[in-house]
Amino acid sequence: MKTEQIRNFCIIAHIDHGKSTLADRLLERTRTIRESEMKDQVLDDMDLERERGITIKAHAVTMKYTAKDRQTYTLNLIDTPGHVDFAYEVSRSLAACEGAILVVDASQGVEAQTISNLYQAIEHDLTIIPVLNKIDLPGAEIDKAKHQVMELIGCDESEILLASAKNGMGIEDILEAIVERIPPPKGHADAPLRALIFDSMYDAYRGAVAYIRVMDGEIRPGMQIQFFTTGKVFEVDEVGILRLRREPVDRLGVGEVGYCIAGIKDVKDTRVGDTITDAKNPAPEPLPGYRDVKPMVYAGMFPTNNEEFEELRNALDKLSLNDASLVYEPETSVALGFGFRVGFLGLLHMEIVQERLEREYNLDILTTVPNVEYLVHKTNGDVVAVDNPAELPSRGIIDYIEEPYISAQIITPSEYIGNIMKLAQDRRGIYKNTSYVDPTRVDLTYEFPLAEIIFDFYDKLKSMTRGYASFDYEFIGYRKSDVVKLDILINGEPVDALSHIVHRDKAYEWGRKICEKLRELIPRQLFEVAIQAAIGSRVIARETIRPLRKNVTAKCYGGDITRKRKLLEKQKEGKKRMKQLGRVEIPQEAFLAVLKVE
Amino acid sequence: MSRSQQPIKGAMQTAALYIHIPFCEKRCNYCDFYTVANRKEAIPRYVQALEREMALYASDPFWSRQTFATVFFGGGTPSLLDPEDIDRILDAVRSNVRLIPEPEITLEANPGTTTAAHLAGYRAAGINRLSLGAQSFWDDELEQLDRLHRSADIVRTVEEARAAGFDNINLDLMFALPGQRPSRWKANLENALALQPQHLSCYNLTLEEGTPLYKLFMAGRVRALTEWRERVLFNFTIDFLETHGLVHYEISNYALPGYECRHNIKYWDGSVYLGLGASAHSYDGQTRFWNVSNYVHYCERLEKGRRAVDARETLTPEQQRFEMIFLGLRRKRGVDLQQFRRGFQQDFLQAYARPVERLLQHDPPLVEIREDHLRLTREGRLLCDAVCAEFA
Repeated sequence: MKTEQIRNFCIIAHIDHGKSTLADRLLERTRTIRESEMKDQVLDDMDLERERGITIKAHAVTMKYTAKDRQTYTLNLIDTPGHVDFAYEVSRSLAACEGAILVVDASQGVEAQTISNLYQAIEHDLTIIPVLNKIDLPGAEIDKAKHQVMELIGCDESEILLASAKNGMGIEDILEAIVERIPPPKGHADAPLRALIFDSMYDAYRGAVAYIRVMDGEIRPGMQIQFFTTGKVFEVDEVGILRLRREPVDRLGVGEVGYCIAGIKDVKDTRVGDTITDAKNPAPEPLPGYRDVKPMVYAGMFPTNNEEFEELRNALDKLSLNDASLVYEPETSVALGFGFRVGFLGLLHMEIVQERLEREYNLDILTTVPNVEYLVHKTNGDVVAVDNPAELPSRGIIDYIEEPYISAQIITPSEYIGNIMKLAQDRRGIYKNTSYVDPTRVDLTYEFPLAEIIFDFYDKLKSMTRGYASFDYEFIGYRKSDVVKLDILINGEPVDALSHIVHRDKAYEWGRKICEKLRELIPRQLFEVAIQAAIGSRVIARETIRPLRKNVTAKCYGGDITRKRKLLEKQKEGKKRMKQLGRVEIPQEAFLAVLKVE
Repeated sequence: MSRSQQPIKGAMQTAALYIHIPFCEKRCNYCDFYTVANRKEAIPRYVQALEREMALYASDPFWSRQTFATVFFGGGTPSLLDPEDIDRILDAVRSNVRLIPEPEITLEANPGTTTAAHLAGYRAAGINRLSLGAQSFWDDELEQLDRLHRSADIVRTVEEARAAGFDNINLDLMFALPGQRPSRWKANLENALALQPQHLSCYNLTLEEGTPLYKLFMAGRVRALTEWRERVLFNFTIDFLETHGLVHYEISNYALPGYECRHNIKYWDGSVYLGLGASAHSYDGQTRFWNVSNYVHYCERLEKGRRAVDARETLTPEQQRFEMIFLGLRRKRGVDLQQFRRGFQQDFLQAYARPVERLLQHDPPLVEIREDHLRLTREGRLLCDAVCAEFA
């Protein structure tokens, strides 16, 4: 295939701005897919994704389009995940493209997530095709949105396309613009193979399938290939392009997008961002930009029923076949028994994993309060990464601790600036910059400790701005911080699953609030329950749940027995779901008390 | 229903017969039993249905084999029935099932609904135990509870009952009424004792969901007593009545020795019992079943010659075991561990080592093990439900 006739592009859009609908229309218009084959929004093929209206995993699809110049072009649409948890995957998808369609909802305007993805696209030197979508909606403010876009990417008004993906308006113009404006891929056909893995998936029969973009050289079945990061060598079984299904081809050459199957058993060997080269004639350098994806957020996951530990392990094993970013290690908690410490890209990723475990694997699991990974500098000079508060070294041997910081971008109507600044202050935010996106909306830049935004920052932000603010962030590094481990003790015994790491300034308030929350969540029982919050050996807050003093049914005759027994059996069912700590029974919700603190 | 096997807990040889009379003059605001206010005209039809139901069980292979030791007319207000009605029902009982020579036959009555002649008639019909819904000797408390009678009615009815030959009389009393002071409750107990009953049932007022009183409570117009106040009243009751010679033989029941209610004990010791009438429950040692609650439906079914059973549940061995424990714990004698071993082929203290240990660790202990019985301690009685839940 001639590289001149290839166009590789992605679509950048905020959630709900119409990315998936536009993709569907492109597939229809290029007859890649018939309408009858069309589930809504084909690119999102997990139910969960469809329900949440976001694309979690990137996929790609190859389309054939005969343009007005009578030439037939190969258009490769590479989908990008639409959530901040998956920023790195987005960057690898962008790296596989020469162009991007920027979709902006004409009634909503530009949002933070769009901007950050757009900046990335510009950094990757992609040609941007701006499209205003949903122009036929009554709320559309086309002129306003046009000005925002012009300001943002510095284009002419004439370059902005108008569309309504839902009704198929403007699709033709978009396809023509892809052909005309996006440059064909560059690369050296004679050079040793370099192919970028921008995604991968696991096929039960074929093993790991790498989704690739060939930069230099070519890849064919029978070839020995090598992965740069692992150094592992495999023989290619099959290469092909991605239509609705995989379609094998003889070879993939410069600029082409497709898949590669090579008897690879583990998706951890097909890492997003890695470079595939020819084992016999390797390229001297990998493609730039590879990063080892590291989880940002960690939480313990424990089966509610301790006997389901093996089931949980199997489920995580299976999930990780398709999700190379999921990391987990067995963890033992005094309070919760055997489980796993699981690392996630972010809170959304965590929720998705939890939901899939419960829905697809029918497991009842308890997830502990998520935390970030701290770097602990010991007095002897060692540095250890701690992703579990229970494993924080004792205070005596800690020199100092560093915590991860992020740079956050918040776009909000200007009337909410005051609220947001207050929220940012509460979350130890460091103000950096304000700029106006348009006369009514500002783009605020802050730096935050990651720990401060993983709980409910986004929800708070949304509710205090009536849903108008949008938010995006990226990791910027570790900084020294005065954090301490806050322990929660029940009847004098520390409950490891409730320990967490907080900033010293907040420890007192947190301790008090968590104790109050636990008092609400733990039912009264036969024994007194003392709840304490402590830093080291110093108790900073205490609540007491008084024991039951009278608890007796007055009447229990012939007609009452069944009802009474059922009541007691129900109590027992409730108890089964509780964790026994010494003499105290603690309901599952209590382990998330920290999340519920206002 | 499986009757091929012998009931596991057939330790008690004789059965109990319950007869439900749902009619009331008025529904009390705390009551959540199945009752029908102001439908006295339906009584003849209902009595006939009871007769038919009794006759149906006479041909039942299981129930016809039983010997009944007790009969209990409960309600509602059974004393709304004329002695002739009671006589007819008891005739039906006697001609259809076997009774022991001296059965205990109880009738619940409301003070004020009976005349001396009525009481004499009941006695003549064979009623030998009278249970009076006295509730309180304070007229304002009776009003608070929506009761139609007044304190003086209780005294008069007890006197008339004595005169009619009743020598086994129970008074139902209710404590922990909203705002009730201990001195008031003490006076109730004194007034009750002055009437020299053989038996007292003292019920902690329970706010049952759906009752008018519960709604008042939810609306904030009635304040329930605190747990501590209820505790004080309960403790006081036990002490006070025991010093006056009444034995606290079940959570809410006190009796002179030998006057414990034989009928109710049958519910608690796993005996079989047959319930006649709308909403009445029966238990054959394995299956519990109960009649439809609606008295019209009840009558209609029997008029068609069918039983009026609404639903049934067959107890798993685990459920039988648990019932034996929680019903046993409500009694002073406690759970008979030897009987448990016989019935379930399992040593109780081994099977329940953990809960027992927990309950023994409580300060003060909530249970005690003596003479091969597991019993609640005084503190345990105050926490009976929570203790029972440990064994669920």
